[in-house]
Amino acid sequence: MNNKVDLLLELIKTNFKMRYYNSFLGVLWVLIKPYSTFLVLYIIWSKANLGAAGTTTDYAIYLLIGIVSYTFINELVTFGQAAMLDKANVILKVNFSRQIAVVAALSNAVVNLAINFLFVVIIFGIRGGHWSLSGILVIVLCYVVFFVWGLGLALFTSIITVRLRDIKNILDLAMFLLLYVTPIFYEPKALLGEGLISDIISANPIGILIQQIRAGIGVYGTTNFPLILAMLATGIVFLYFGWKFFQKYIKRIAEFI
Amino acid sequence: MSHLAISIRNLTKTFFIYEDRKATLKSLFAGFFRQGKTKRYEVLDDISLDIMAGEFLGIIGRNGSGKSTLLKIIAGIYAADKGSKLEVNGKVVPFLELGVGFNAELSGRENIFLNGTILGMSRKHLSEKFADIVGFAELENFIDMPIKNYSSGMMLRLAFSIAIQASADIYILDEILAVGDEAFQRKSLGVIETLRQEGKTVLFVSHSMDAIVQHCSRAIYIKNGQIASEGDPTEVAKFYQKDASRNYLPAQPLGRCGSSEIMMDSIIVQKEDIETLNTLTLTNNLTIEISYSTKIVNKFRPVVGFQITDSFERLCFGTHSGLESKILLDDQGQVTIDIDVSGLAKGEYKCNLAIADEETGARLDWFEEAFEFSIRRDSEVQGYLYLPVKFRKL
Repeated sequence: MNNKVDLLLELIKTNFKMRYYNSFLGVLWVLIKPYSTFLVLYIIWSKANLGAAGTTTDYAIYLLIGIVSYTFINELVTFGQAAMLDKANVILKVNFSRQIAVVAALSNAVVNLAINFLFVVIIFGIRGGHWSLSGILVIVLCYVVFFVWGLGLALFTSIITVRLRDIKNILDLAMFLLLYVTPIFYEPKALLGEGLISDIISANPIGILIQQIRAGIGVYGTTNFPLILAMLATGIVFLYFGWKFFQKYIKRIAEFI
Repeated sequence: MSHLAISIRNLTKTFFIYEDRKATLKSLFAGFFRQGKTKRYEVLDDISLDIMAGEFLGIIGRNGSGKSTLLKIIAGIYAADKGSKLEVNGKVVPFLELGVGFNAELSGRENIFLNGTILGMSRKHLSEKFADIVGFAELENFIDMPIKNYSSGMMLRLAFSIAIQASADIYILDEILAVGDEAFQRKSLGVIETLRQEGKTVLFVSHSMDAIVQHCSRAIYIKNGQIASEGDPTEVAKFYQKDASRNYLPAQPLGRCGSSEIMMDSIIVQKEDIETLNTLTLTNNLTIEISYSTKIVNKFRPVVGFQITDSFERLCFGTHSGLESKILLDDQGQVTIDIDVSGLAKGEYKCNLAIADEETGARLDWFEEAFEFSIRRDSEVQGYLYLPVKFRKL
């Protein structure tokens, strides 16, 4: 057990170091990407006063939560998908707990989220925001739900990618489209009014969770604990099937990698 | 009383190589309704073997015989086919390749913890053994340097030093003794010897028959996925050496193989027929005259070539007529090879001769160790090269 925890920490540390190795700005890139996106979108959408007018008490925080959360989901998906292929040289030579490589890849997304969220906290503080204990709990729980679903998905995609390399492109495309069909930088009803499209976008479970995080911080709507717990429960079921799939196919992964 | 460390029953391993592997969606849809062509390779064929705890088992065989696949199955990297039975009692540490997971950008220090945890060690254990690892690898002054700046020898020394800290019941050593310089190799052999004395179970793969005979208590020879010989290491090594050099086509003489569509009919070395050639001592020139004939015209682009290997079976030099002189062989005739051997150091050498297809590399007539020769030199040098050197005092 000790070794598994140590291996996990070593892999997280190495992945994190290598991602920004030899880069002039180094770890600052974790912040530059989401925050520059935030700046551009904020300038355009707040000027047009379209994004979430009348639905949020603080559009800057609303947008920031959207972008930081989307960045997290995107990294969960992309890091998880590449987890096995990235460790191909080790998989071929040593029989180690390969699921640790998947968890390590996703943990790197968590580290990046922590860094990004720290700045959300600072900015929220500067803007005079206040935290509630239940709000913090909702936020943490929502990100746990994302992690559970992300891990479940990674247990499938990290294996399938070895046989079908197109998975990466499919996920890239899906994540690109997700940016627009999820309330990241807009509020569906504020932008599209009432109607079917607005309802469909509002029913997007990823969007629902992001709205719950916004509710947790107090800039949008109200929190809904039972809904989040239901999503967590379904995530755990999904994770179970992912684990079963992973266990079944990991035995022969070295032959196909 | 010693117990069974590894029990293998009817172990078979088949690989299916996809000739048109559907790794992308496009290729998957293009061939969705037609079955992809696969080639079946039975790498291990019904192997049964018991290895007792404390045994030092040598595994020998030619490249591609199935040795590494067997080790990878025991190590849990590959899964055996259905119907195979494998029981492993104890913790296995495989050294199939040194430095697995090394990251060239990280320092030696960081790689000790990365590589060590991949091999199953805890950070605490690695911290305790850190000084031993660095000391054994002789890298005290370089341990905080990125290992991309290490020489390959330094990197392998570090990898070996980490690997030997993994405490296990069963060690799998696949050709890892050729690490570092001679002094480090002696040290490495000392560690292997300690494992033997401590009663650890060791599976030891090597192409060095001396090492197999010296260290192992029992040996097996794997040929075409089956155990061809098993027992006393000296006997198995002898059997292997005899068998490995034997022609794969039984009708042909020792050391000869190939499709036989073009054959070397006679070989004259230094004006003497190879059949009657005894000792051959050279200093500068070696002349080989080969007469050949062919059964199939215009099917190949045949070239004649040779390889010279030293007494350690290192390939010193090899080339063919297509490379050197753009000469392809006619239907039949004679070809002369003049070799200047003044670049070879004093020692014993062997010469392989071959006629092969230049395009595909297919062996048409391969004559392993066609003849041996000695090089005589007045001075002793290191290595197998004898380069013209002048030292000047300034």
